[in-house]
Amino acid sequence: MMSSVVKLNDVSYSYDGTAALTDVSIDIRRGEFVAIVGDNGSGKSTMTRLILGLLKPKHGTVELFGKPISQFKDKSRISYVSQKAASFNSGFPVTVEEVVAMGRYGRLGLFKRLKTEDRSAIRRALETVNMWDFRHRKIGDLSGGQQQRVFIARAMVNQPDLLILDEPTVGVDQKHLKDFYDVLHLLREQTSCTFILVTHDLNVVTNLVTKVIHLDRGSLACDCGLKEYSEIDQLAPSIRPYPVKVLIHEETT
Amino acid sequence: MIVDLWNYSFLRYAFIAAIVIGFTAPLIGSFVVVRRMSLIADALSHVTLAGISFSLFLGQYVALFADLNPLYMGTFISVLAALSLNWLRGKYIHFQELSIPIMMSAGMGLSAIFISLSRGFSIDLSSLLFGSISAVSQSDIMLIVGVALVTVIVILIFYKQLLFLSFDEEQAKVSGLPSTMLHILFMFIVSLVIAVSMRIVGTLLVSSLITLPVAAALRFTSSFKQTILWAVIFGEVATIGGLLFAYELDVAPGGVIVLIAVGILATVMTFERMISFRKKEV
Ligand SMILES: Nc1ncnc2c1ncn2[C@@H]1O[C@H](COP(=O)(O)OP(=O)(O)OP(=O)(O)O)[C@@H](O)[C@H]1O
Ligand SMILES: [Mg+2]
Repeated sequence: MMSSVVKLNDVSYSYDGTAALTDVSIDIRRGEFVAIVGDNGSGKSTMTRLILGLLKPKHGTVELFGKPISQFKDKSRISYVSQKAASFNSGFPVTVEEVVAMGRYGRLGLFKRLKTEDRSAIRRALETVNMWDFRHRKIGDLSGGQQQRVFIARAMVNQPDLLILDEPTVGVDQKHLKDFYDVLHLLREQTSCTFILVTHDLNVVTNLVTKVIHLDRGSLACDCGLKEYSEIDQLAPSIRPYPVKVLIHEETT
Repeated sequence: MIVDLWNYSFLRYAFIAAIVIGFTAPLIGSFVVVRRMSLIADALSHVTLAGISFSLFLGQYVALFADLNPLYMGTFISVLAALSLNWLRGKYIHFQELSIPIMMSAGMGLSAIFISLSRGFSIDLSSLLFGSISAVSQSDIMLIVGVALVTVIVILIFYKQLLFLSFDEEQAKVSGLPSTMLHILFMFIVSLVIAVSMRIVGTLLVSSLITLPVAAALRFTSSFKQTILWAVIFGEVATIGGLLFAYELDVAPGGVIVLIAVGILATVMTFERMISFRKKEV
């Protein structure tokens, strides 16, 4: 069995009294590709933010790479693309290249400048998302989908061990959507990175996904392989009040 | 003018101060502006004035303060205010901008009281509000140069971290940057720079020197390094030019410096229009 990368033990979280996640326990292991699905407001982003340490659980504990999150210091092993990439100030004077370089900052110490090795990693990441030609452009002058691709490049440039993507393809067009999933496939083949992908469309990632986590109003409705997931409604219709079947098309089973 | 520079030490001090501030204010200002904290600069400068007038007031009664450079107290109060701003912002989570008028009015109110209590003791109000060429003393220069050095060192060390934090606080936290510590350090530097800049440009115009050169640079730059570079160039043009004119015309330097900065901004915007107009024609 591969070592544990993310572990939630009976984790609950509430925002000012409104429960967003209740008693969730999961265990994600090295090399897995986990899809988190669920309705709007079911707690998917809350779960990723707890894993990232941006939120502290009200109950329960979070472990990263086998350590309690408070003792896990090597944050550069984790990369994150947030759901709302456009949350930055669009007038901000930074170029695409400067943004992607930020992905390397976690590894660089104080005083250290970017080395050739960093520069080539930045180039590779930008080429992968087809944004190298835009490297000198101001990030705010790009379209929403192009910006999102830059943020994906920033997440990849760090060669992380854990990549957390919260609906990363919002605003990315069909053509580049395919490019993006090609990149995921490539990363999957070339690295031993663990993936957590929040998505509304399981079908595009069916041959990548090793595990589906389905959240229903803050509770874990399902934590299983893709095959079981597609059959779950037939297996136990009574204990699954939330109809999971609609989330997956027949041809994927 | 050149001969005067040679002959009068106060003029030399004023020029050294102008050159150093013309560099430091826009440097830190680039971060202040992109973090949307321009108004905080205003609040802090008013608080600095309160500190300075408090020190002058105390100087009437306590011998120690009579000899002490009032800018020290101003700087100290400004730093205190910057740190408590953090706390005030926490109190009004949904109305964070409220902390600014609160601080500004407290600073202005205290200044008004101390300045009027110091009647008889001659306070050059105009120099406090709009800056002065003759007010820069040797100990001011030491303080100004010291603050500039600290600022440059902090930015050299933490440039990457400060840029990351300014651009995307959430991602910076995810990467493990100590965001609270960095923010406090940043506020500390900002309050220092504001306090010492007021000697040359005056309380009411400090925030203009911090923001206007950056505002002009932002119109045409696309990278952060470029923004800093151009903001500093504009800052130097404004402070050095402003001081020259202020000396020749015998007016408050703060006024001329800020007007030049406004002029630069207007020029940049005009050029911008001409260029985009040309583009359309082609
Ligand atoms: N900052 C916040 N303050 C208060 N409540 C919040 C906040 N963020 C989320 N919530 C609430 O927590 C619950 C879970 O939200 P969350 O963002 O985790 O959902 P999600 O599954 O990511 O939804 P979506 O598909 O829309 O992204 C929702 O009921 C939401 O209203
Ligand atoms: Mg979400």
